[in-house]
Amino acid sequence: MGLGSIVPPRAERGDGTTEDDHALVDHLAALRRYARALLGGTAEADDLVQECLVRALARTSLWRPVRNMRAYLFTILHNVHADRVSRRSRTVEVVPLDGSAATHSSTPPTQYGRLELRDLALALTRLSEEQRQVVLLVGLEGMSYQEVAIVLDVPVGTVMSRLSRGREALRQLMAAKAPANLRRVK
Amino acid sequence: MIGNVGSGPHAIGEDDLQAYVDGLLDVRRRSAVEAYLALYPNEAERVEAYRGQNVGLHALFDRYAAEAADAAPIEGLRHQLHATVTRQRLCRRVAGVAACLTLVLGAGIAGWSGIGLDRAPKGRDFVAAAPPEPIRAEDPHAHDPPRAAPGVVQAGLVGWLSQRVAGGRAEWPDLQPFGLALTGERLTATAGGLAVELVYRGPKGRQLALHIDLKDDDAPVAPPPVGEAEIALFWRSGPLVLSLIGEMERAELLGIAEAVSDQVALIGAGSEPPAGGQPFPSESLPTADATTSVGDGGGAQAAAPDVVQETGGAGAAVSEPVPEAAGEAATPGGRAPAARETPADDSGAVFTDPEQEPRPFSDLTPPRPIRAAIDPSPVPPRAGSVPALA
Repeated sequence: MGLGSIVPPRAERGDGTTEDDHALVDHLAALRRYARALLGGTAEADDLVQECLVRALARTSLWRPVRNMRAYLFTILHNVHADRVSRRSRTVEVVPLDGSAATHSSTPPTQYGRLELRDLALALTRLSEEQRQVVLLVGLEGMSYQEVAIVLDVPVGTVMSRLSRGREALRQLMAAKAPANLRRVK
Repeated sequence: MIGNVGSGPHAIGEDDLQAYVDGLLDVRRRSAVEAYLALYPNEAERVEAYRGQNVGLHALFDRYAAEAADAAPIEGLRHQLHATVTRQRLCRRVAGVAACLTLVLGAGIAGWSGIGLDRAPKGRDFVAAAPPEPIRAEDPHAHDPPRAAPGVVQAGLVGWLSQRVAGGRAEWPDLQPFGLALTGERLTATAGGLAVELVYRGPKGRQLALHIDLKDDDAPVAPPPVGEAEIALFWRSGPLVLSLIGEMERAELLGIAEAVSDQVALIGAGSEPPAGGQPFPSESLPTADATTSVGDGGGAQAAAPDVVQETGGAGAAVSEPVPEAAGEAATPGGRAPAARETPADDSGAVFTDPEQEPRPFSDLTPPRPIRAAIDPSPVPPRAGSVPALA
């Protein structure tokens, strides 16, 4: 799958600069936000982003232009993260869905209040990392499903499956439903 | 597709609901989903919860994006990446022109401190006229960053340069048109990755050193120290920092820099070497001893700035503004081979035995620690090798 098939050719601006140049700041801000949301620690997240950029720099050739800078950077970020995880010989802890974290049973409102935000953050940490990645890339970073598939190097169908399950798991966690009620999504 | 609700071609599936949450449906499909949700309140509630999650994620984490600009190390890297992307664009715009240099003319110590060459090159971008680059078939996976082997991130970078530069596919710049033959080559492992040091020699002791260094961090690129009669050019080409140090006229060195740039462009792109090249021998790939070669040259590090400053008559001659020099370089085809013979006896700063015929670089005594020129940490001069400049 070519990156160019997802993102239309970038428009050249009148001043000779491209959208990519102007978007680079946004990409890096998004990288940092995503890393923070994925890892939960600011220092570790910044470190991850930094290494990602180092690697991107080392691999960016003047003669092999990067067509989709955002997907390129997020892919590298994930590779760096995967390397780190395996280097530490530990996988990210996956906590089974037991719903014990949530303490209230009301249906989550659309606009979260302070407590609900805290619950959301907590529920997020209880997702499997695969689900958390997809939920964050789509819901927070606004990537298309195809773009997420490239970044994570999985089929689009897998992205959809993880997204659907991850979102439902978040909902169930926040609604303090028992695992028995975690029905198969229709 | 997790499952479909309803039947027929217009059935609303789980994918539709997810895409509805993310606003990825076109108008027709969105209307269909809304009609469906009106019929199934439970599904509507679920979708509403998912939308709330997206809002909540932004409420939780957007502030970290806002902070990103304050992260100094990241910002420094961003500038580098931006510069690279900008130069990529420049290269694309000048179709068929392989050379795309940010040239910094460094010459004489007098120039260093005042110019402020401590970060991204402040010289001008200059595009040299060059034969069109051969068109290569686009590798569909060319943009896919390779997954490094688990556990050795740093080795990934080294391996990358090995593969790109020294993996047997690349060849070093051929400077025969300038009357210079490649006589020495070696790899040195550095803290920042891998550095390649090449030595070219011509008749009557003409010598030229080319240093190719992978800069995988945002460490400042320092100009290499040069001897009295030498000038040095260094520039960045993607992740590679290239330095040319020679004892010849600036115009001639710029002409050589053009040629080197053209050929390194091919190396950097990982292309197949042109016919007739000299593949880098695989046995020269980095080994444990290779890592010590930088330190071995410690005795020669006296070519360092202070010493040069004392003698530095010729240094002033080459510390003129960069734009003029770059303009000269942009003149196509002006560099005749071996345009000028450099006196071999006035300065032995680079190579201590200029009368020697071409011979393997490993025989040089002492080897010039060109790496030290790029290392951002200043190397204190030693008194030991002052005679070389006296």
